[in-house]
Amino acid sequence: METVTTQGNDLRLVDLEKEFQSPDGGMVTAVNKISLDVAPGEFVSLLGPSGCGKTTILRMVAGLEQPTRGEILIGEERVNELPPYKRNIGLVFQSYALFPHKTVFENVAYSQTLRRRPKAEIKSSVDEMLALVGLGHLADRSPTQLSGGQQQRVALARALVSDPRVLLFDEPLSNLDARLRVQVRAEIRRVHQRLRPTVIYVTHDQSEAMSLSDRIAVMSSGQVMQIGTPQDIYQRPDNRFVADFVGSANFFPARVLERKSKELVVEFSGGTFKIGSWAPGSEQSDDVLLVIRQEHLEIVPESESSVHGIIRGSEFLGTHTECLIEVGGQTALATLDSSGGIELPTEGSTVGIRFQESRAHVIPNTPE
Amino acid sequence: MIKRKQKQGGTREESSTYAVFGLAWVWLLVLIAYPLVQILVAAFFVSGNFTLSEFYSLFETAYYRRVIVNSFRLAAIVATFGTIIALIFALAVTKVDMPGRKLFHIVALVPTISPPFAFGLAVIMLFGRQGLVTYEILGLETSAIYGLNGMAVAQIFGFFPFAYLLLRGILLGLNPSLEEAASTLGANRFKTLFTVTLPLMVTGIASAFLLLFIYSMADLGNALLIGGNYTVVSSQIYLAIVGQFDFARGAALSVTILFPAVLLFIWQKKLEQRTTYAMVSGRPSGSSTSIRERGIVWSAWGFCVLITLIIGAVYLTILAGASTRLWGVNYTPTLDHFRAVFGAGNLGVRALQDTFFLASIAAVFGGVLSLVIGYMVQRVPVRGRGMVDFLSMIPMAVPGVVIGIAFAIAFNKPPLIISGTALIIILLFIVRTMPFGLRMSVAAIGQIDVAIDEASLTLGANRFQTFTRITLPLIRTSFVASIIYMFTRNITSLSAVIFVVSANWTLVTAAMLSEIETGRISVASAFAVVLVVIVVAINIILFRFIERQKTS
Repeated sequence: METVTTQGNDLRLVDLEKEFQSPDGGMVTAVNKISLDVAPGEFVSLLGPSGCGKTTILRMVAGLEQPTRGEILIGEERVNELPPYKRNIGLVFQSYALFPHKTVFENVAYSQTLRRRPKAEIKSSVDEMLALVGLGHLADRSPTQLSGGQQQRVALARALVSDPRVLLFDEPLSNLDARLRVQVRAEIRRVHQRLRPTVIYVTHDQSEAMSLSDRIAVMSSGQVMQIGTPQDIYQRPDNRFVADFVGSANFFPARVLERKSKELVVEFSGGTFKIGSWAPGSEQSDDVLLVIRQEHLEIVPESESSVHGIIRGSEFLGTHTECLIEVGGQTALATLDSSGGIELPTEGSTVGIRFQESRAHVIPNTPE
Repeated sequence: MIKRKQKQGGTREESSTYAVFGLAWVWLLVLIAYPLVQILVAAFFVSGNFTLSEFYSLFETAYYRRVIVNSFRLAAIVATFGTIIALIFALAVTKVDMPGRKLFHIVALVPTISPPFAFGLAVIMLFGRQGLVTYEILGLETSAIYGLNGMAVAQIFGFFPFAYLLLRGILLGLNPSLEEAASTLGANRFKTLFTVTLPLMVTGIASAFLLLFIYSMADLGNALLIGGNYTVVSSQIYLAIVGQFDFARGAALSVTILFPAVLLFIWQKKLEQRTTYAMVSGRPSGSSTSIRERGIVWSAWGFCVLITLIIGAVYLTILAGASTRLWGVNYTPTLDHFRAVFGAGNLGVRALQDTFFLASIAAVFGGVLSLVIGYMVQRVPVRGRGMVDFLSMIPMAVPGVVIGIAFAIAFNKPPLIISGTALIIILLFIVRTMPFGLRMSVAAIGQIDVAIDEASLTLGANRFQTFTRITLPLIRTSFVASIIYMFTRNITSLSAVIFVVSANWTLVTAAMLSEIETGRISVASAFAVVLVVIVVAINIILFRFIERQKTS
């Protein structure tokens, strides 16, 4: 099947700011000086907890909110002053937002009908889009008769049919149950790989962001905490917030003993480690945080490690068992593989802690 | 991500949107603000100079002092008893598992759409000087019913349904699990009622009380009919204007109830808002905690039957009055009075025609206007939309007589002379009913997910296209309902339009009033019957229509 390939435009946000009037009369900064360049065809996720400003950014790009300061440029054109209907963007909503009084076909055809394109052209482009999301056979149904996953695919087709300059997703999978979520996620990835639109994808779910994105911007309180590829974000977080929000990480205060060009030598709980990966800013102070992912922390017999901890509790979770360990006054989580038939350590017993140096990472120990 | 409000955030709007918004402002300023300012001017200025003399003379005269006290006393009585009846009725209909719940509900709706003096008429026919009960059955020749008692009875039963509707809505909105929690914790039905249900409704009950207070103060029909020597402000205003052409006095009297009414209204709205916060789940359910104890069921049922019979008796009495020769003297059945209404060359037919013509035009325009303003208020981020909402609501607070005089004063002189025309009646109809239409359209639009509008906007539809292609089709049922409702209110309204009817354009309710004033109660009853039949028929058709829309 021959499809029109969407050639997305680049999107640039320059010092974008948004202040809201709070109910008590003061101003709340929802988005604080955000700058972001999205390349044509790139898939960028805004990832963060609710209230971090990610949806506000999306709505400003769509034209549904006015920025307080800063610029939004789509393909070098400043769009701040344009109403939403003149921006030619596609927006996929959490609540699908299909028009309940129109059929699936009419929903997808809506933007084309508004542009008064010839009927035959509309039909062929709508059919093509519906086929792309695998719903060609449901064109005459009412959206209310479709499942949530199907509705969201219709919404996707509707957003794509006008060949938008930027495609925006606002937590599109949040209303779906776990299984459908994975399906629709795969659908979104497939469609993106096929048409290569420029995408901004807002989510609070790290696995969505990881699996779909070229780059992820992790946000907190209106600011970007880190932007990078999923691997960067996960393996080399810049700060405690990112490490904590993405995945499950243990943080151990450590002291830098020596700085080499390719590694830091740190000391923590009586052990000395050579760590090859550290975040910018870690050179500033001798007090740093050692970041070790939960799944990389091993529990071994007391004699096999110089670092010790006391078991404070454990939870059997099927595929694995999570252990809560007290290490030098800190609590840490470690994963025990359940399949090996390893005996669970009893509560209160002392165990050894081990990890591979190559899997550890160092970040600055800045107070939050 | 700020918590999303139902009102939409900040899209850029085009100048055409602002133009529509500007027209809404012109409308509000010319038709609401200007007349009300004129009434203040008439009350406070004598030949261009500010003076309180009109008020001094009002408050110095013992007679007027009594009139004002009378109004408030009557309102307090009506509000108290009306709220109690409404509360018991609402609790019974929503909470008690008894036969006939639906019928009780429907019967209680009838007074809300019936002409204003139906209850006064019935009370006179049953308990008046030549009343069926007092004169025919008991052999008394008494006029005891004229005055406070008669007015109170007529208003309590005529107005309690409005309070009932309000309380019913609150009861249905209460989260049933709260009551279930109370009963699992060992509270019996009454304990639950007094410790959980009623405390949750306190603001709602207060709001119902204020609503009835306002309705009673504003009522003109019953006051003229059975007020007797118990004169109240609304009837005094009418007499001052229509009897003595004393606009200054009428305006001053108006001011004495205008400010209390507006303050009470604002207070009531505040309470209503707080009530909605108390409702944890917005989803109407209510049926899950049906009461089945025999004692409660029977007493609730008995109460509802009594109320239903009273309401039924009112309309049957009017029907009887309309179809007997001369009430109190000769009870021979006849259709003469209907002939008097419909007969060729009679005022009745013309009044009916005029009423229908004017009321329909006003309802359609009012409906469209409510819809447009409702959409702006709900969805278009234009500065000042909250003010537009507030201004449009004001006529709900202003007693009908007051806005009636305001129109009569404001539009009887340059720059806008339209008194005596059809236009002034239509405009007054619209101004009076638009708050209801606006509430309905705001509620209907609020039901639609904001994202649906936003989807349309991002897909390339401008405001107008979004409104016509998405919003309008989605709320068309409620749109039709609001037009019918406004039409109903128009044809049954009296207190305001009585001041702007003319020889050229008259209305059924005004014709009724003049029949009553000339003592032709039977003809007035015939008018009332015709109106009630029409209104009920229209509303049944509407109900069917809505049901069909729901299923399709």
